[in-house]
Amino acid sequence: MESRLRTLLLACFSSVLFAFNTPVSASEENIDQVIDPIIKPEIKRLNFDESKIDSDNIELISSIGILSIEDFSVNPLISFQLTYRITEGFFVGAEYGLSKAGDSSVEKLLPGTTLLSDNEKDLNYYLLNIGYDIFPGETFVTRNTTFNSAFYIIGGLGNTQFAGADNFTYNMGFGYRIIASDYITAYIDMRDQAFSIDLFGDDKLTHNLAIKFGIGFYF
Amino acid sequence: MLKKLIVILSIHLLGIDICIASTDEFQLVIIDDPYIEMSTGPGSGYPVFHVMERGESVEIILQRTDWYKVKNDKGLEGWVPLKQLSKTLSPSGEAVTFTTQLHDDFSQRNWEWGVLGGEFGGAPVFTAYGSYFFNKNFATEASFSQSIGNSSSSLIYKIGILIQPFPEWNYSPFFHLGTGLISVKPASNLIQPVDQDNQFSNITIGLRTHLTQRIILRIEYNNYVIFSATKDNDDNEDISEWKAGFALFF
Repeated sequence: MESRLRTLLLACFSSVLFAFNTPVSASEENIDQVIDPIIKPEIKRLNFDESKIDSDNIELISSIGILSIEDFSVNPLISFQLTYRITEGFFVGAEYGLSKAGDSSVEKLLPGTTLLSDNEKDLNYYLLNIGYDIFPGETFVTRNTTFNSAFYIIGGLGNTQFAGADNFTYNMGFGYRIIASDYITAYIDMRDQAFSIDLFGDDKLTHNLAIKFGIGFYF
Repeated sequence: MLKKLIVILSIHLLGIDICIASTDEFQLVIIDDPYIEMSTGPGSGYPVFHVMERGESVEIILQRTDWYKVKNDKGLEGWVPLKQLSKTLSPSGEAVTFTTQLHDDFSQRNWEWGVLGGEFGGAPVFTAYGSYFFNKNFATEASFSQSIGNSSSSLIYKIGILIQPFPEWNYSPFFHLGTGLISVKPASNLIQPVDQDNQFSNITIGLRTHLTQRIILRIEYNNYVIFSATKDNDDNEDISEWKAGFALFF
């Protein structure tokens, strides 16, 4: 009886041992898999590389608007401007614009008179400008929509090709910029573009007002 | 004119494609200052809306002038000035230094692009130019100028060699020897206007200095000898010009 009990206990013990032993022996068989880790740590050194930071300081602005050409009525205007942001406040830009003069008062009053030929009425200009954001701030479009914005002043020198001649031009004005995203900006801009013109044998300083709406893209 | 507009517009649209395609992985840094402040925009006029503490990691998304757009691990985005990022660590624990454009970079630049304004023989003149530096002392330079006088306007195309003997000086002098073509167009209100193209040779002396970041101030005096001598007129024309302006270097 005693030996039977001992046999039973031994059997129980050995079966338990066997039960615990099985996975160990199984894992020994697959020893290669154990060495090969289940989670492979990706040892990728995260080094800092400043040259990989996206740096966008150049903006291309396309605008449409109106240009009041003195003595030649108000006319549509299209302009392209490339600006570079020097500091948080200052920016420099080169602008190219195209317009076409309408009829002058003389031509309207005396039909048949032509003061300038069709070609001479083509107006194009380039300007080299410097600008400064005097009032940076925020524009609250709705209760939950806010855009960064800035009120800026701008001025510079350039050339206007009009009436068959190159005319030294200076311009100054102001504008308002709404920064829609990191890359897209909306503009409204007002400028006085002044140049001397010799139409009747005498130089006359003309003031030409330009109002433009533009969209700018940083790249 | 319409063709010209289409070309300009298509270049513009291409520009948008480029800026959309340029989104890639961001650089990660760990703050080592006691705290840094996040502003709503890239300028000191924009308000601070969030403060991040030492040990927080941030991703740098974008740089505009001296400001960096960052994103923290909670996804909050804001702008931080360069001077606040002066004490940061890379993810591997090394100190990160941001390069500001120093005088060393100025004397070791490769490209320079600029615009100048001044007076060409009494008439206003504008110039756009580009220089490529072979080494610290020698460069090749090409420029395009327009001079707008009362009775005529001129286009000046110039190419030449620039010599800078003391690139490490704060105010560095330079000399330029050039040649090119000057095209004079008389105003149409003159009787019998005739366009005139002439070759010229030119010598320049000038001074340039590093202002801030990538900006150079440049002042120069030019002397042109225009080979306008003909059978009837024996004399070449001698024109002097001074100009000043700004340039960006890369």
